[in-house]
Amino acid sequence: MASASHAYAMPITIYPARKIITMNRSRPEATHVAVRDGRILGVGSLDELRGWGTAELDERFSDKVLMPGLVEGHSHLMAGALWRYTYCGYFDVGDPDGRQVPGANSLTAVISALQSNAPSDGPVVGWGFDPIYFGSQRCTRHDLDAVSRTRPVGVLHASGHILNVNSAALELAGFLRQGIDHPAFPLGADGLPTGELKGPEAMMPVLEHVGLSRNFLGGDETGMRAFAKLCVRAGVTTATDLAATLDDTSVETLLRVTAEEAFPVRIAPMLRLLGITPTHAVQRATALRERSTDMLRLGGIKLVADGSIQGFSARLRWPGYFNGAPQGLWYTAPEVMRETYALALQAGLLVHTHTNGDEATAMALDCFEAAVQLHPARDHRFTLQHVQLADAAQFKRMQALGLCANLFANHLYYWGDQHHEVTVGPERASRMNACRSALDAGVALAIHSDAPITPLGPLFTAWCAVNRSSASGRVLGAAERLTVPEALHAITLGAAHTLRLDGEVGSIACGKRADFCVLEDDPTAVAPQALKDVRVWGTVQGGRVFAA
Amino acid sequence: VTPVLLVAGYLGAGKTTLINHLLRHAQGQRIAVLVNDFGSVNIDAALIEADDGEVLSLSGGCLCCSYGADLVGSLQSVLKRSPAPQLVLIETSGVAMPAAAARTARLVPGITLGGTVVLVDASRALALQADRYVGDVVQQQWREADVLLVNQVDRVDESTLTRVRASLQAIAPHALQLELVQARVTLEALLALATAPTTPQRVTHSGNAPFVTCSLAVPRHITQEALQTWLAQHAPSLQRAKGLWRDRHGQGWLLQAAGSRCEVSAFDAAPLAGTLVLIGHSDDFDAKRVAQSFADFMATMAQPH
Repeated sequence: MASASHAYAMPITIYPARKIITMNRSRPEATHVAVRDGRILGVGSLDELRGWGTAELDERFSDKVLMPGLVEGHSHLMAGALWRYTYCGYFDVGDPDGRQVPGANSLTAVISALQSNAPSDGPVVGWGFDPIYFGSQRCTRHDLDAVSRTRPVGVLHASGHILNVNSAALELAGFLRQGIDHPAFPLGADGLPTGELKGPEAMMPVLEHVGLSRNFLGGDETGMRAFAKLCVRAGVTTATDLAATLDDTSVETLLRVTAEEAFPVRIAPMLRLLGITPTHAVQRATALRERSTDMLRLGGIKLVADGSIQGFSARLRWPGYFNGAPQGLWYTAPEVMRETYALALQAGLLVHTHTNGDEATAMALDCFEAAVQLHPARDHRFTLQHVQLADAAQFKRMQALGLCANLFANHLYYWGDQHHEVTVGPERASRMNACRSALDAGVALAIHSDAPITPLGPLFTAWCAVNRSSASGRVLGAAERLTVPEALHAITLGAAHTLRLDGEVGSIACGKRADFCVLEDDPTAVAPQALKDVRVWGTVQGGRVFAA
Repeated sequence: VTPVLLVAGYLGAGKTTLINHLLRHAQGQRIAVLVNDFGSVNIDAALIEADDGEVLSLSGGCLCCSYGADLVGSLQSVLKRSPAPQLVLIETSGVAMPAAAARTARLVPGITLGGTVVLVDASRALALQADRYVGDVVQQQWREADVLLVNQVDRVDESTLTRVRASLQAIAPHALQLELVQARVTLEALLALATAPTTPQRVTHSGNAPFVTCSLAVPRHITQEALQTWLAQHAPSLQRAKGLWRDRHGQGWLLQAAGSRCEVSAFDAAPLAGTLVLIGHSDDFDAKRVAQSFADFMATMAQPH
């Protein structure tokens, strides 16, 4: 047969490694992996692999540790696009080119970062701003006027829900005037907006004036390439873009860029149900599914049930927010959730649903239960995303309904102290992102970064799930900790399972994609507290080697 | 200055039916409809003249576009169109809070917000109001209404309708209730109802209002002249009043007052159960005293002359 002889003609490469952690029960650990045609031919000892025929021995990883390529089950391509602007966050982070960018520990430091990175003309933009670490001081337009009085300046908060702008930007958008009466526009003593825009209604009309186009969130080629670099540095070979508008232009861009020989990460975008009906979303996703390639997995749908906990827009069950803040908002009506679930189950499409608060989780469970009883499906992999406040009873229901959970472990570190002190209080904060309860209930589990909300880095996310330590060092519910092997499973096979990709990626086994995370250190040998410090050399994706 | 009317209400309450009805009977008015969800508006195919993917151009100069997350930007761009729309209808999403949408619309200069019309499906109102997930949202939407359009009243029995009326009355005492079938109401009537003769300060939801409302049932034997006479006694303390009722001959009336101005006009769509809503400042408007005065007045009216 032509195809067989062709396949035989393909060269075989065998990589020896210091250690190969396979996530594959038949060979949990190995020393060699053989690759042909971008796929794994076998994993084991050199002797075992010799049986496949003549092979080239590539020793570049002989002192490295190989893992399955990591899978980020909840991220956004925007995490790459943002890097064309100035990072203004509190924590140190690595940029796509591997430079370690220091965090800004004061408003003064943020302003000087914006000043020193400002382009020669046009708007000045920053992102990742998190002034909760600067005490009660609020950033105002006057602060940002120090960056420029004439050019628009905008700084996006880490949460993505607030934008600070200077006077010039307010002026351009027509908001530097008296008489504005809107909760998203706090006013100064002079009766003019302070420049803090608290919510999309206020942000959207100003975004384009600070150079952030409405569509920069997805499908942007430069952003995709930056995102891909971040993935390589984090050991990620498959990542989601979990709220995409997926218009024709961005789909073409995604198809073209992911098909390039040097593009190192498989992208799974999901169509956000926003401004379209469930019927349209299912039709669109069904058509998109047909255009999927190995490197671009289309056809998923993303639903958003409620808002965020730190923004007090998540829907909480009784007794609500610890600080007495009013109940949050529904972003999607239960009827729409039910209809989308029902139509997607019939069409065989995958749906992932954002539920932050536990009332949103309850609502999604009820809606899904109603839909799946009408349209029984045995292995749907529908997934609840974030699910930050789910309790054991809700995880039991998820298991019974076949729903997977992708928990936001990074929140424990970045906002854990706020959750403990302000949003949900000590007891519920200790069961936020309850990974242990999920596993004990038999729920298929993944964990995520939601990059750019927190930095992309599954090993850091695993560290969060294993240690449950907040930024101040407070342990939030030691009883919900994962073991290191469980956490490593969650960032490989676990996340792959939620994308229906566990048969192709997520472990090192014969027949799977040759996707590896190449490490300098052994994550199973270091102390659990050091998991985040495990160094990533780069990745192998579809047999192609990418050094970070 | 372009008038803007907010059309809100929970999913399935009849917002789209209302908008289609208004577009079909636009009678030469250039209406721009901003919808949150493009796909849900089933505009009559016969009305559509062009579709560029962003904006549906409709016959008679009307148009329809979706605003997604950017109500301000969409409203601004619609107002810039040539010829400019004469009226903008904003249809909010089924889970949106109308007052928040109204505040956002007010950020755009060059408009005057006519008011907030909230649709209520009479056949689902009682269940929705008690729904474990959306009950609070639905009740808040009602509270934030200037006019409650109670739709599908032909689909419920009289006792249910009575309970719906009482419930709306208790939750949103300041709002006018109008009962409809298939959201059939004329644009003229809707604008008259939602728009006060002058622009009084909006009565927002409970807790922060220095306003007091008094809602009265208007019996069928009252004449519009008599009602105006009674109202005039209370005019100094009134911020705003609206009334809808039918007289003994079946003639419907709409009364609108703001400050010392009072207008009464014939109004065919008035419900059988008449209401009069009075709004005043808590410092000089005593709702109990006004209600007692109205009861006394009714008693004199009922006596044979």
